[in-house]
Amino acid sequence: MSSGLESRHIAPDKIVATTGPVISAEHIRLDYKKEKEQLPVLDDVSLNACKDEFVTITGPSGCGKSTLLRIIGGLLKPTSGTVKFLNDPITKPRTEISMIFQNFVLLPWRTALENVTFGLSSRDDLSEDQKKERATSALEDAGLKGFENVYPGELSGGMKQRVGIARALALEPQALLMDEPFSSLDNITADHLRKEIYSLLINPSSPIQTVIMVSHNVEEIVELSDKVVVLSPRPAHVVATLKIEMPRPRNKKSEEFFAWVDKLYSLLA
Amino acid sequence: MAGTGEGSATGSSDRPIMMPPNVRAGQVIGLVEVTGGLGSVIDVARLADEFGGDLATLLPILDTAEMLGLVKSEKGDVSLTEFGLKFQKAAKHKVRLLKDTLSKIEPFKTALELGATKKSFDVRDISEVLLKEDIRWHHRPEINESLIQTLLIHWAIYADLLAYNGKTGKFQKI
Repeated sequence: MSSGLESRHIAPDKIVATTGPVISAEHIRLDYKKEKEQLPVLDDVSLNACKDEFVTITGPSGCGKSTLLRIIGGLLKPTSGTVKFLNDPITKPRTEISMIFQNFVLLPWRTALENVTFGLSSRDDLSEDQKKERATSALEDAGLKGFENVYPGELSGGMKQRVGIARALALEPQALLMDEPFSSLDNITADHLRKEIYSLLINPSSPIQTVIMVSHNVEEIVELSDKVVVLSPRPAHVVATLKIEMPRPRNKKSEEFFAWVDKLYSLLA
Repeated sequence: MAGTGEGSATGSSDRPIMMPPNVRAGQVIGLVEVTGGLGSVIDVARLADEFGGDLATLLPILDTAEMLGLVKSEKGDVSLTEFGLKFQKAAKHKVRLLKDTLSKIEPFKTALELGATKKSFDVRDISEVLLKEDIRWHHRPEINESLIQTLLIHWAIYADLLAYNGKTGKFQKI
């Protein structure tokens, strides 16, 4: 933590030049089937995330924000509609897209290093030594140097989330999905981690081309986002797509910041 | 309790200084960043407001930051010390700046002394030494050991004072 989250160098073959969206979701509809009834959850939701864009999906509790993120990550199939990564349809999880979860999802019987290495299990192109090296480097980038052999149960919430971040970074993803990554942390820890994360994820040497986050914390959204997609109550459709163009780091005390917070509250209330 | 300058733990010289058990390094860093970002002197109530009005969480963090010489708090007004300003401005490895301070505070002090004589040691070894000095964080031994273990992991590793292996449960002095 003290060392801070640090940006990583990118292998040249990972750089993908793109002029269109990195991720696009087009006319997503999702219905849950309950006996003979159909429960509509998402209704014609479209969004896109371009290069170097930090996009946040927000909306009332239970509107389907996390469900939409899982569809984007290929973890869930929509009833209709398409999600594309660099114009290629996403039909299942893929290594170019990593996910960070609200409740960390760490394996308690594995050390921090083993948890991060486990995330690389599907990378048959890497030797065990390469996986370990990459996981060690990702932990260091996430500010956890020295914590390689510590078990999740011995870590604080902030540190556990850093392991989650390291696990996502070790994959050297081109798109990162984050499902309320700070909501399990106390305000002080979350505030500190938020300050570090943007520059780690979006910078010229990072392989990550875009970030999509789900959040209902309005100040957090204004602090981090370039674009905000506001969803309605279920069945969710897009109420508004806002572009927040403010210099970074953003001054949470500025009038402009307050104006954006107000605007978002008015859309969510 | 008032900070006494760079890297100095505050407290009476004849009594051991004990680290509060439930405050994490990230929380102290967050507090220093917010305090520094809000101006030279800030009211505790305003600070609490910054953290969602959660005074129960804030006060122990404030107390710890003060013990570490990072902030001073007088009559409800909080400000950064000179050391706190240096800590705030450090781009990374902030907790390493606390190395000297922490080494004067229990349980880190005893852990470092043990590490100087033993290649590796576990939390029970430290707890036994501390109990001889009547230093404990909880009356139940298993909880006391757990609190010591947490303090060592959450501070001493970050500060680069100790290394830890979860598989063996052993600490080593760096």
